[in-house]
Amino acid sequence: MSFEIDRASLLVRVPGAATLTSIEQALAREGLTLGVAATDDAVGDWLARGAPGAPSPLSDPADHLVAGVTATLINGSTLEVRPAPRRAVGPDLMALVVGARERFASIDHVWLRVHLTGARPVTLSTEGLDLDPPVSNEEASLLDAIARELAR
Amino acid sequence: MADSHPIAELSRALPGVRSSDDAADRVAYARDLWPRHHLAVRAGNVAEHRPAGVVWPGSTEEVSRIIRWAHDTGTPVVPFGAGSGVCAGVLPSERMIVLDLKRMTRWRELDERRRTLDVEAGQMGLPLEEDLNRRGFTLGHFPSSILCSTVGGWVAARSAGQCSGKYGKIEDMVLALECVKGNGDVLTLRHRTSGPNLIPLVVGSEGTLAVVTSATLRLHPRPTSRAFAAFSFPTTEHGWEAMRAMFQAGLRPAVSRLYDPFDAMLARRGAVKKGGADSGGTPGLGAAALRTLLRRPGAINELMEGSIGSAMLGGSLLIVIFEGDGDGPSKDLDIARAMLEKMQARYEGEGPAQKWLLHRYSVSYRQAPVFAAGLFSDTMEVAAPWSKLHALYDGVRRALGEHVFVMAHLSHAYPDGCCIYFSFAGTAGPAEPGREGWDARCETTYDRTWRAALASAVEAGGTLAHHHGAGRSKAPRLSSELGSTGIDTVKALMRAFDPRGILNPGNLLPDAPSPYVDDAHPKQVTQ
Repeated sequence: MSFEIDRASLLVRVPGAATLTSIEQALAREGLTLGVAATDDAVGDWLARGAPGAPSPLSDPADHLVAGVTATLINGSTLEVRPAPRRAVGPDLMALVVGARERFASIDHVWLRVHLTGARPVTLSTEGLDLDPPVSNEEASLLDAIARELAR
Repeated sequence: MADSHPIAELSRALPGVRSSDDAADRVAYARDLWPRHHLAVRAGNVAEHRPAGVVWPGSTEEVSRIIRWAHDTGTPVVPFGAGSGVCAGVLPSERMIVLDLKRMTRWRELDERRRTLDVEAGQMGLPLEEDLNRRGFTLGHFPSSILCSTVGGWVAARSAGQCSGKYGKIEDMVLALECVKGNGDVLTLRHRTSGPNLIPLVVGSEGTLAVVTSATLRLHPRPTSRAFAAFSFPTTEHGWEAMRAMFQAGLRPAVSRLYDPFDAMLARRGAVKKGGADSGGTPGLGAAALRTLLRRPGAINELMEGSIGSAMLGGSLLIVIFEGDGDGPSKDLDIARAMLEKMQARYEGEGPAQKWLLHRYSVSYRQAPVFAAGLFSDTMEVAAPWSKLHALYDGVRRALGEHVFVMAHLSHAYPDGCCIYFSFAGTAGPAEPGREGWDARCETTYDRTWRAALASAVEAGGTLAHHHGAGRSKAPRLSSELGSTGIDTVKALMRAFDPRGILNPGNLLPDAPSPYVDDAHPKQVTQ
């Protein structure tokens, strides 16, 4: 599998089927790291499950884990969100991919943030914050409605 | 409904809901602060696209009743904060009612232990921050519109503040959103790290998916110490390489603002202070001289951007402010200074950064004298990964520079990229058949400028907007960034949240009636 490293931006583009271990090994050769525990999980599956083990995005609000994505929606079309540090062009469609357990889309390729080996981590306190509340009935109902409309 | 007035119908159906169809109110709520509107106003066209009226709900329950009524009657609704948007996100028609949330300002819960605040959407920015400061907290969100924007507006537009380097943008601060869907149902969305998180869909949706009625925001301890510094660089590129190095090394200055040579010259001279809200005059030279000069913007831009201009103006300027507790900010600044001085930075002392902080909001009030002088001005905020920043900077600058005088600063940096904030001023182009009037010719220049610059941003691999939103002004170009699948996906979300399409219809859709027409001829949007 080939990985495209954007050294200047500290980004790497990888296929959704690539394992975290294989990505980490490739990055290590460049003096880079994902900054998460390397496992044999496919990165697409790992992101669909909400990237368990990754630092909370609230610990460094200026950073993020996923900068861009190419995904196949449940209606068969291909969604591409080009890499950008932040954008303001309507709803953030990556919310349909990350943490959504492939309900709406599956990841073909993804742009991940990588770190210089030895860079200082940023860790604002998230103590006391409830980072994983249960999904309410209203939210579940909305998730169903989104899936229905996307499938049309 | 077609034969009756929406406000009269609403008053009959929902007695007690505060509303108005007064002509003055309808004019006041006919638009946001999109600069192209100012051209229309200057030409004597105050607002043809007036809403049917305005409603001022006082609670989520009231919002829910209003939206349910609108859903049942098929009445379009435009949610409204403080009206300081700059992208025509608010552009109602005579069939629509405007839903102003500014009566909803209650703090529902301040949790000092968890450092969270649940606040209603109509809360204005500056009083919120000042009240938090008195309790020992900060939100860390300081948009230059903080005097005239609301929490709900920040959420709707994906706002960014001046301290984004440490605290992020508004989307990085929202832990929960209470909102009302297009059928009137009240829904609370919660941030989830490892499960479905629907908040990012509503943040930035510009009133098209749901009406945001309250937000639970993450707070931080109010900083007790700050460290200030300014550095000059031979070129703007040297400056942004320094910003990149800081952020990729794990430094998080709350403020890092890099000015191009012309903008830096204004900052050094303290032009913001002299030309602020009270000045009432036109900047620098007389209005007539400015109009003449700006008819040939290419030559001025070329001079300012070249090495002669850079040397004449004193190079680029980077302002850095770290904030936190104790000696943490000073230590971080020491690290940053050592790093930057290896990258051709020249230390300029604390003064420029201190002065910037003192006048941090003044710049937003310099637009009126420019329009009064017969010119126009606007800003464009685009972003890209660092690897594409040079192409974005050069491409957009060149595209803008053919039509208008342009300067730039970079004030929102991240480890993987940066936002470039272009400010520009222009004047009327040559007369064309049917476009002889001064203001009509200004509109032509304005539209051509934007069209060229947005196309250039996408071509360079950038995003069309970093924090102003898209509104109707950029909607015609959205498919160039999101693709047809992206647009279809947004439409699917609109159907899921708002089945009858009553919430701010026409916004964020490339195929909706456009405020522009081909070749920039004027047109009122009344659909």
